[in-house]
Amino acid sequence: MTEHAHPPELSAPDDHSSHRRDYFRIFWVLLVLTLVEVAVSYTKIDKRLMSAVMVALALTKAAFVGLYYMHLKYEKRSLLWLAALPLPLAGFYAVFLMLDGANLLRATTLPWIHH
Amino acid sequence: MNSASDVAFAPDHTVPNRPTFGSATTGKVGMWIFLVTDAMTFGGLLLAYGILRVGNPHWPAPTSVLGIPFTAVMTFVLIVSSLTMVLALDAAKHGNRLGAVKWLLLTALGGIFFLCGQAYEYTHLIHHGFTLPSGNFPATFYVITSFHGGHVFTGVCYLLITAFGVFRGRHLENGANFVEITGLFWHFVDLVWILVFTLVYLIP
Repeated sequence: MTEHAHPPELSAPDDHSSHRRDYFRIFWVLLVLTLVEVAVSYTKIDKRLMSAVMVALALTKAAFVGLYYMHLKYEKRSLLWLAALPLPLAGFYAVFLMLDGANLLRATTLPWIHH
Repeated sequence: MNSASDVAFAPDHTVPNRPTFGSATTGKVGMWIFLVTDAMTFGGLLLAYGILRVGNPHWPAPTSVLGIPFTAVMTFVLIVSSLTMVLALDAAKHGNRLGAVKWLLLTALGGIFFLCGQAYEYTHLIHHGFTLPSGNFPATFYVITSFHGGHVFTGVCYLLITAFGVFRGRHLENGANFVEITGLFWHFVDLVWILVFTLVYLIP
């Protein structure tokens, strides 16, 4: 496209062949990590370890999609932060609400909570 | 640069160079803000699922109810559709109109395949008594996966509309920005599925 459409910071990674190669490379990474995840689900390792491994693999895959397929890697940093900053908040909620909520739920006798 | 208001209200079809978000167009920044809020909705649903699950010592093993190989194939199709989406953008950026239409239609086809798979899965599960009101696991399962399925359906419509526009010779200007924004939504749907597949189907 025209020079106007591509500011300096975009011109290097926007090279035709290298971008396409990246797209295919990321596809294979996603495919292999998915296969690893499914394979791990059939092993008999400790449940906590298995959960941790799977969450790590899933977050890695999500990061690859965000950075390469959604081009966050090639955007201005502020757009990356826009997408990334809520994540620690979600992690904070996940840890503390799950710990707290789990304890409350285990003690509850509300009829709509099926144990 | 003139005044601040000129920059803020720059029309969508120009590629800006702003101190805030650089060359990202207003449409792209808008889509990102929407995706962040949408991610929060998914986050809320997944969090509710997580709380109910850890709060219940008798939660069934997902693998005992859900078909992992079948869902793995559905996941594979969604990943392939993300690849065809970036190939569509690549073609559109290089002015290859029919190539872009072809890849966009293949991406939509992947989404349709996924929806068919989900319909088959639901039918199968309901047939085996795994219905929405039969417990917290099915309730959270159906709410999360159907909310995601709704996104896939929206994405398929979005892709078809974009493909139609490209076919008519539109959306190729400014580095095919319109196609790229469509892609952002589609990749987000794929990204969420990656997390849902792991958290709902695979976690033991």
